[in-house]
Amino acid sequence: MLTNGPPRKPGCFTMARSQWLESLRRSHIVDPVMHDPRETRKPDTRLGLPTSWVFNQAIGGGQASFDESLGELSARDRVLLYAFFNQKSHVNELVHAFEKLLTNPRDLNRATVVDIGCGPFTSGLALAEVGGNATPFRYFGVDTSQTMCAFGGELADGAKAAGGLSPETTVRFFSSTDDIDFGAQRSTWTIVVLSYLLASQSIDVDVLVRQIVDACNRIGPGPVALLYTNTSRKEATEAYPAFQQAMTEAGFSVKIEDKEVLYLEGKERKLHYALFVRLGGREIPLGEF
Amino acid sequence: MKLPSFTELTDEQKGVFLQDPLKSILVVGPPGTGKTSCALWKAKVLAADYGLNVVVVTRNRMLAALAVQISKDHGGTPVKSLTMHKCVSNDYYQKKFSYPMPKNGYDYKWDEIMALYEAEDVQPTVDHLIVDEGQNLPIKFFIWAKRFLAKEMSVFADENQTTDVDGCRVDELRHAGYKTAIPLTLNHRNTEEIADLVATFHVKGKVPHAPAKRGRSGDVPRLMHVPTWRELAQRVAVRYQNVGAAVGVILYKQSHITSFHELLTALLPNDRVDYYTSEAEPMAEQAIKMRDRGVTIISGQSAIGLEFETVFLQDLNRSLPMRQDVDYRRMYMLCSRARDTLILVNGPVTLSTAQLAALPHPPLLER
Repeated sequence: MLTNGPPRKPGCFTMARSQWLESLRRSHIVDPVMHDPRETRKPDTRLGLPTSWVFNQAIGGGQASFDESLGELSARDRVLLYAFFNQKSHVNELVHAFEKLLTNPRDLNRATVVDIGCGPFTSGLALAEVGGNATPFRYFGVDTSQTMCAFGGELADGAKAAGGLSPETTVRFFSSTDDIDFGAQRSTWTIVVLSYLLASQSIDVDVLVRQIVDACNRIGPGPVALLYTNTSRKEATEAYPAFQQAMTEAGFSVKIEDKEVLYLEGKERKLHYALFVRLGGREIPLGEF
Repeated sequence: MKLPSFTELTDEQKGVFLQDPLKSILVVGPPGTGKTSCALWKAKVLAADYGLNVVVVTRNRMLAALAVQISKDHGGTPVKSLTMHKCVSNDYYQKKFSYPMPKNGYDYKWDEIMALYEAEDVQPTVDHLIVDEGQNLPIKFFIWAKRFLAKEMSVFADENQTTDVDGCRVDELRHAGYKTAIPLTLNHRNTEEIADLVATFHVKGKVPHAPAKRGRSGDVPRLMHVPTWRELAQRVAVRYQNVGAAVGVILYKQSHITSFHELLTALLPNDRVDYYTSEAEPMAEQAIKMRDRGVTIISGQSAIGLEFETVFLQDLNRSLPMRQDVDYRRMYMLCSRARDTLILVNGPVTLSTAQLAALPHPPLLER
């Protein structure tokens, strides 16, 4: 197991985030929570509810049914609280990963991003942070929660309005990859993001891999990279071996799979991550020409 | 996290399908995706590392000459590079078949040729045949080559650049034993501005138009009006003197090529100004260092597979306005010859309103 060593500065993971990203989080997530009439600002509470209850039940560590209200919390409240508690560290983790992948942000140019289990536009924000607003890409967020997708759309609009995204970047949300019409085939990079998706116990790995491969084939013959991140807690990684096997059988190679301890916001985060690639694209049967 | 960069992965991607050099492959890719360099790399590895008898076949003499120059740059013995016609006639007469070859004008009577080979039970002697720009060769050539010339055959082609009437389609290559095609998907040649213009001429195909890896340069392709050949020569000379690049001037008529060469040589007496027509002396093309600083004047037909830093494209009249697929393909192939700067030339015979309307508008093409 690798560690990054102790943090250089408590609460600070890498470089400070862009102004637009900090402002977007404040205006769309932090202020709406902190200025909510239910917010008491008492220790260990949010919206007047115990944070442990919020974290474990209202947002279920990210695995909740976000379209349903729970007690006094509306679906929207639950999505907002999810973003409040989880999104910043997820963005930071993904920024860290994308900084390694995109040493040349040009590689993101006109890429297709499929973020499965996207939450509120989390990997889109991280890509914008790393790629800058001169690099347009197209983003397809996939999440079973419509409330989550709607909030992701608001964050994407906010990011664009603040100049964090290229005006040419397109952002759309779907409840399944099978519903996405990718349009004309293209050869640019396809980036599939699976951030904490496999932590969910309800994922059928074979269906997931079939959907990924179908989507990649519909996008075009270009190279594909799939970034998998998850907590390295044992119960959250149980589905991983079957996932890796199915991906390998589908023609992807595992570039790296590792566990690592990251220090984020002064806290230790145990991370399991992997990068799958299909570089040569798909060999095309001559009958398709 | 210890992750490789996409740039590293892309470099690796280039080598993925070359991992087993002995294997016969069919590679399909749009302009600038590195078909010629992959083909020559494979030829070099097979010849130098495996000691095999390798032959490279291309459509035209200029590309065959370029193949020899590049293979010299790779170091070691240059690979044998021929046009298809040279390859077929060499083999035919080496096998002692009678003169003349069965032909209909310039076209081979393949069925008769193959019947002769069949009767003599000719067996392949070349270890690996490598065909570049295969889309411009007739399908019967591949069937003949696979049966009688080479034990293994790798083909590099672009389904969207077939500019010859007797060229083959990618799916026809199944008759030569291929089942799948490996797509090449990244354009390493053109700037994004040029790639975007080229994309407008992309005929719908299985392999999508390749995005430009190089990014934007700020140098947008432009349309330049010149009323006379003399003025075109002056513009080319000034451009060359300012930039000093490898400049290609693509004209249509052979007679224009020779007279334009005279005009330009007078303006650039101390610089390399080469020209090539299909009537050039044998081996003349070998002396043209088209990748070096200087100007090369060629016809659109000879431009297949070549590239220049700056291109003046005057061979427009016959393709505009685009009515058939072949017009789109020709524009697609010709515009993609330019690495950095593309100048479309309106003149000396002025293009009609309909022809001008068929060209892309700003911001893709400045006028």
